[in-house]
Amino acid sequence: MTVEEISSKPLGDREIVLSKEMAERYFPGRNAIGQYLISNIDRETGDTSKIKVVGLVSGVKWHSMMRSYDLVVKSSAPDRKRRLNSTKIVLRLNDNIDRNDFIAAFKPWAAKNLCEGNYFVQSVLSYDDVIRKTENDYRIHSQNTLKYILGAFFVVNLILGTIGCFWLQTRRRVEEIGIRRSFGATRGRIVRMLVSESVILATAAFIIGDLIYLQYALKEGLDQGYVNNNGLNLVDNWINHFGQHFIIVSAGVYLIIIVAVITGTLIPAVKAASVNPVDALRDE
Amino acid sequence: MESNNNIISLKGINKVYRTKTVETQALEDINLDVADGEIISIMGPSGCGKSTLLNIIGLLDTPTSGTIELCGRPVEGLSDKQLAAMRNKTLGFVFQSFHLISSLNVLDNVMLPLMYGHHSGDRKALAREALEKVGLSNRMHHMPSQLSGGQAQRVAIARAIVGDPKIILADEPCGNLDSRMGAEIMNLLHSLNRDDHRTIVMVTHNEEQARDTDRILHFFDGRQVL
Repeated sequence: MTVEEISSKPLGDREIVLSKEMAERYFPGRNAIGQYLISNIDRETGDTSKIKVVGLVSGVKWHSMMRSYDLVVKSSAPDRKRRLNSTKIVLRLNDNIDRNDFIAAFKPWAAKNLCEGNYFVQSVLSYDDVIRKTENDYRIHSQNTLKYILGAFFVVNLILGTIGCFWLQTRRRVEEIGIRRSFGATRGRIVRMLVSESVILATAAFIIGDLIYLQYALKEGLDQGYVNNNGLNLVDNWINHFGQHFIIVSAGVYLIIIVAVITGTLIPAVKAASVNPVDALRDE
Repeated sequence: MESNNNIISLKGINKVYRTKTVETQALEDINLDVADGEIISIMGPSGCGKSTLLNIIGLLDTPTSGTIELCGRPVEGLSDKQLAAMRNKTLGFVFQSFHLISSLNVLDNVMLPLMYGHHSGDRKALAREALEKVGLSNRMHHMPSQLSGGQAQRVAIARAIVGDPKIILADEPCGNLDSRMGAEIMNLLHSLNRDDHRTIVMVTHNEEQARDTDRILHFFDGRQVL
């Protein structure tokens, strides 16, 4: 269903249009059109009611303030008291028209021609400006900046902590390295052993940590979201496509850990393997 | 000792430790031949160069000048990998402080040299055999911290012989043991020399133990004096 189709065919009271992702979650493997969703509370009757899915939309472009939301288009009763004050007119431009040029030309025209009584055009904004304004209103940028700073802080801590931990662990094994070299281990073999041990250790720790995280996410229902209070028993995604998110984030975290572990092990391992076994085994 | 079946041959060995301000001559013009199957002891006061000589024979350290031959093969110019392979195949080390790896059990400690060479046969079976030879087959799953000093040194000897090396280098093997355990260890080393025909070079401060060996080399200030 396209935007034009939704616009040209107003929805009935108990009709709804879903995004394809949402439809797949509620009606996996089935055609969602014609199926019914149960609303917890009908605002008019105070009872549960069935809402029919009449269309699906796909290819939705998500923005920061709407990410995590499933797309639902439903009918809305007009509110005459507020409607005129907040009426928005959406204009869709042809591809060959420059947006800025249009706005520059449209503003004076609208001021002169689009007014009736006390009602007039308050502002003309591009869709990008609307998004930007909404993000500012919701402080999404400052929240994101804070999240990025905190994330960077934890990543730096993780890397430094891991490097430091493995650095110390490797340095403590100088005597063992001396013993192994006495009995025929080459420098390369020692370095490979230390690095591979660290990678195995980090991998085991990562798998345990990742499974704990997955268990937490599933237990808390973060893969499905939570029931919102918009009157429908619909869910907001905690994150879109949890499976993909989990795999990509896990792979990224594993890569960071492995790079940190190899960095933390390789340098002291090369140094330790280069120590003369005589010095490593000195008793005094 | 002149012999044509020398397993160790050192000619004109010098070892000098240099710092920015000090130069220390640890070994001076050492010439030594050890015959195959011989057991010799090296004696001398602390700091006279005994352990340095043992480390040079064991290819753990390099001389400043001079030549070394082990099993008839000159070691000069060998790469790190070749030296490591030679240590693995030809030499077994017994240290005063045992130097067992504390995180590995007895069996794994003994198997250590087998990890670094192309040893035929089952590694575990060879390690068990070596432990049986030193009388510790009942302790193979113990950790080093659970062993007495004498037992730890016997494990170290099992580790030294598991790869079937021709030469065993022992640096004060009884230095950390009481006299009874020291005697046990010496008996073990003598039996390895006598029964298995292994060449043993041992550093010791104990004259009684040294007297039981084929030859005693006395060192003083980096020189062989007797």
